[in-house]
Parts: sequence; structure tokens; C-alpha cells
Amino acid sequence: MNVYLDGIGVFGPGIADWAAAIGLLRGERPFDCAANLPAFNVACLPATERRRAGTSVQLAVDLAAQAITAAGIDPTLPAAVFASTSGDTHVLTDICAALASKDRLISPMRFHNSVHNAAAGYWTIAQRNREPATAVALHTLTASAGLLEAATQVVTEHTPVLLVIYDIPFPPPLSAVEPILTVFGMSFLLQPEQTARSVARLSICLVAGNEACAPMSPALEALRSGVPAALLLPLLTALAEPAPRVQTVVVPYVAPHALAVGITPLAPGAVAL
Amino acid sequence: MPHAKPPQAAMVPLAITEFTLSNALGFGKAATRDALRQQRSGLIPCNFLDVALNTYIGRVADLEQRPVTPRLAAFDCRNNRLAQAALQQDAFEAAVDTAKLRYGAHRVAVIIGTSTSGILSTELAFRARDPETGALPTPVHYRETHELSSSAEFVRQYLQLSGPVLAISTACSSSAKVFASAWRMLQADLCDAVVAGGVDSLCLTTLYGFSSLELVAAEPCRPADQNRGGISIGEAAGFALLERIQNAPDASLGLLGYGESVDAYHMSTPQPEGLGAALAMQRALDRAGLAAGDIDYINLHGTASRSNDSAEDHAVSRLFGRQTPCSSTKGWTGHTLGAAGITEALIGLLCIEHSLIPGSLNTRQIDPTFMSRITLEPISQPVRRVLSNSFGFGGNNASLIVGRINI
Repeated sequence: MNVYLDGIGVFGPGIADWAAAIGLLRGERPFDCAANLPAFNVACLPATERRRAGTSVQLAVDLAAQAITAAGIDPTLPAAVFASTSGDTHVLTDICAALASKDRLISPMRFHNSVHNAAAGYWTIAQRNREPATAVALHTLTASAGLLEAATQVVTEHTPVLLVIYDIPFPPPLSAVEPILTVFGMSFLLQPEQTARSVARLSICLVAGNEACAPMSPALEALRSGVPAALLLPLLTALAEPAPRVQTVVVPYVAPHALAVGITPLAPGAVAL
Repeated sequence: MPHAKPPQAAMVPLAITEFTLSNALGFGKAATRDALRQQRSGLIPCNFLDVALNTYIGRVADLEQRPVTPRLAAFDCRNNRLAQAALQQDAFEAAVDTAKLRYGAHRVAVIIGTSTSGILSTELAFRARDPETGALPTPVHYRETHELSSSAEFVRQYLQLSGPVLAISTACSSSAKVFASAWRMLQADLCDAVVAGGVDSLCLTTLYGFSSLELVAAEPCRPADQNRGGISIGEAAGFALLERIQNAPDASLGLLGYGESVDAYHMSTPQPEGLGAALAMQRALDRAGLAAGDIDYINLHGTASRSNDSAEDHAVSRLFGRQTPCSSTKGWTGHTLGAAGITEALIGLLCIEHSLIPGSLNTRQIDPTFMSRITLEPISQPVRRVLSNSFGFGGNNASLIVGRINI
């Protein structure tokens, strides 16, 4: 499946956007998982929604806006795939704690924020976008499952698709059972045809095997293995190379399959429109 | 400038070569079919755990006595018990085995919709936290019971499949959207068959959550009734085996179309004129290459909440006028949330197989402001095509058209 990559977003400790991520991925600066999280940019949310949105929704909305801005696309056009293993882990924990209390009262807002498609809801409300939006999960393979679903939508529906991959850690006590290292996410705006903003063509397919990813620095490797949403870091690393080249990145997917992503760099502006 | 979408050609239907469903009406197709014919509701006064809410529920009997198979013991929870019990009905496993032999296990995908997965296990574990440290009792099998793909992974391992896997969780449209993703996966040649499913089971989160929104009825739900008082929460599982039509020349039933949209309006209230709902229905018709008059019956989302039923009526009447008979079957099963999409699409197939249009059970007086053709009494007549609606929180909408194929 061939799709065109028009916009990239990244968020994590010390990483506010794709530009900030490039230096880390090239090894020009060390990645520090303990670095402060930048402030979320959720200016697109209406004031009421901004107050109601938790960390997970703010992370997803920030990432969505990054990819949309980078791609220069009308935000009402793309369909959306939101991929996260457990979504808003804070809301989930609060609800389970409330239900274990004597009165079992949970707030209506907390309840509607608990659905896995909460981020999709906030984003589409903010952008008045009525295109299909989905929310998917596949535990540690959530990111590759999300990429596969997004690419499949691009190719079979012939539509631009916004893919947002995001996770936040669980608070105690579930943090002991389901450790997620840090707040992290990435986003992509994928197009069915090359545009003036396209930075690469991605050829995505299932392959047999379980190839190990190219080694990354210990800090980035800890991020990749510590947050499901960081599973595609090798793809970002390849895209961040100073001299773009044709190459294939293989990322884990449901055994016995892996997901191969062939990258063909494109010069933005190469297509006359 | 963005590329304009090419005009959409009608999709080639997907064959549904086997299906099964289990819910408060019982296990397997016959139980649901018989209850529809006999107008027997599965709703009972809430007797779930120690829940003290004045409401009715659609509870599946005997799940407490049906643990998951020992080889998958870590997956044991109410949600996966319900999934397993449903998979064991109607020779569904045999149909999957046939597909596995034909295509290879690695070419059969599993796509499961769920809203709350097995959250009940975590809810109960929180009750048993260590009073000193707050730690959960061990072991907690979060990935196997509660993570949103736990049932997808359970179904995959139970059926011993190794194709692509996906869990979709978009609240009450979850298991309608599995059909759209299934069509796309087959279209992209990522697999040759899809086990599409939906599973959602009773839990405290939804019972107390919908109560907090004052959306839960004190009596059995009365969809489209002028005095409707809210929803009755149910639990269900449903599965369909989808294959390309050219590989299933004998199949008589299929997925003819699907349409997805969002309201972009409010997190928990539908857009009042049903604009997003109408968009999903129109997209389903367009994709199926059908006109409104080609639909014989509409299975409404019809939750019996005041705002859903009103918005849906606006949307349905705008597209279908007063022509097409419609009803909600939630008076039988309750609102099975993430399992509602597939449950009601499969009820649509039962209606086609048995030439039955169900009336809206429990509905006494249709809301006088409604403009669509809500049926209160069952109608016996041939049914070729059924449109089924599913709308969820976040304004997430999906409409499916199922019907006869190879005719």
C-alpha cells in the first residue's frame, strides 16, 4: 500500500514537535526521559472543551494539530485514526476508584471522557470535521495496528487520514501492573496522492518474520520499549536522517507478521499543482 | 489544493458465510429468533452483583458457570466468557476452521469492537486493594482481561488464528465499525477472511455512568415512546465470518454497504437534527449503490434516550420519509453498547432469513413529534435488505446495510 506522508507531529519529554525531535533522533542531542513535558498546544479546542479535556485528550489534540499544520491541509477533510492502548488512564483509574467507594458516584463528564474515542470526539468537535473517526488498540502493538488501519483507509477509501498514536502512564495502582514509561505520542497526515507537502512515499505491507529493529541509543531504546506509542520510533529515526534515502524499516506486528515500511524521500514542492 | 475524491462506485458485497449471536435472549441464533417471534423481552430488574440501581438490564444467564478454556485461563473474565460462549454456538467455530484450512490461519483476521472490554475485572480488583499500600491483589491480568484488545486477542487465540488483529472502541458504534474495517482489510488484500465481532458485558462503569447522566430508565426501555425514560443496559456478543463473494458462491447473505461519520457536535449528546446520523446512512446507501426505497426495514439505534431517538427520527425521516418500516430491538436485548452494532446487524440477517419485521417492543405510544414509520406490531413479509444504525458517544456514527446476495 502506497501512501504519502505530508505532516509529522511528535510530543514527549523535552519534545514539543517534529523539529525538536529531529536533533534527538539524529543523536545530536541526548534524549532525557526525565526532561519536562512541554505545555500542550490545544488552542484549537473551544474554551469549555479545553477545561474538560484531560492529559490524554490534550496530548492527542496537540499531536493532531501538529500533523495537520505541517501538512497544510484543511482540518475538516481528513478521516482520523486515534491509536492508544488504554486511552485516558487517569479517568479510568478515577472511575475504578470511585466505583470501589461507598457511594459509587462518578461524574457525568468523567464518564463521557472514559470512552476510547474521547480524543476523536474532542478533535472533531473542535474542527467541525464530520469525516469518519475511529479509535483502536492492540496493547504493545497499538502503533503498528494504527498505522496499518490508517494506511488501509487511505488506499481503499482514497481519502487523507490523520493518524494519532498516543499514550500516557497509568497512575498507581495500575502503574505496577501496566507500566508505561512516560507521556509520548506521534502523528502523521497521510495522503492517497503526492501533494506539494509530501515529504516521503511510504510503502506499507505485511511481511513474514520478526526482524529486530536497528539499534538506537539506550535512552531512545528505553522509550521505544517503554511506551507502546513509541513503537514506530525507528520509522521516525529514518525520516529524521540528514540525508534522506530510500530504505525499509520493519516494525513489530502480530506474529508471525511484521510491518515493513518502505520510505522513498520526496522533495516538498516537487509536485506542481 | 486537496485532491477531490473520485465519485464512489458501489462496493461489491462481502459474503457473510456464518454468524452467531448471544445476548439476554439466550445463546445462538435460534434463541434471538424465537424471542423476536414471541415478542419476549430479555430485560429483567437489575440483579447484577450488588448494584443498587432502580433499572432493568439485559443480562446473559449463566456466565458465572462458563469459565474460559483452561489453556487461556489468564483471559478469564466476564467479557471473554461471553465471547467464548457466543463463539461456541451455531457451528461458528467449524466455519472458521473451514476458512482456516482454505486460506491459512495467517490469512484470517480478527476485528473486535468493544466499549468497556473486561473493565469489571479491574473494578472488582480495586475493591480488593491493600488498605495499607493501595496495591491491587495479585494476579491482575490487565492485558488479558481489560485492555481494549483483550477480547480480540482472546478470540484470536481461542480460534487459533494468526492474521491481522484489531480492536475498535468507539463507544456504541464500535462493533458496527468492525464491518467497515473488515471490508477495507479484505480490499487491501491483507487477509482472505475476517472474524468480525463485538463483545460488551455488564460492568459498574456503564451502569453507574449512564445513571450519572440520568440516561437509565427505571422500567424496561421504551424506544420512540412519547414517555420514554432512558436506556436499559444489556450485554451481548456477536460474530460474523466475512469472505469475498467470489470465494463464497453459495452464500446468500452479505454486507452490502457501510457508512461512517461523526457529529462534530457534543461528547454525549447527539446533534439534534441528526445531521451526522443522516450522513452515515447516506454514505451506506451510496456505497451499496442503493436508494432509500431499496431498504425494507431499518433497525434503529433506538436507545430510548430522549435525545437519541429524536435526533435519529429527524435523520431517518429526512432520508426515508414515512415509507420504510423502522423499529428498535433494544426492548428485547437492552442497549448492548459496544456489541450493539453487530448484534443488530445480525438481527437484521435473522429478519431477512425469517421474513420478519419486528415491532418496537415495549413502546406504547409513539412520540407524536416523530415523522418516521415506527412499527409497533411485527410484520410478516419478505425482507431483502436491512439498514442498521449505531451511534455512540463522541458523536461517532456507523450505519450498515445487510441483505441477500447472489440473487
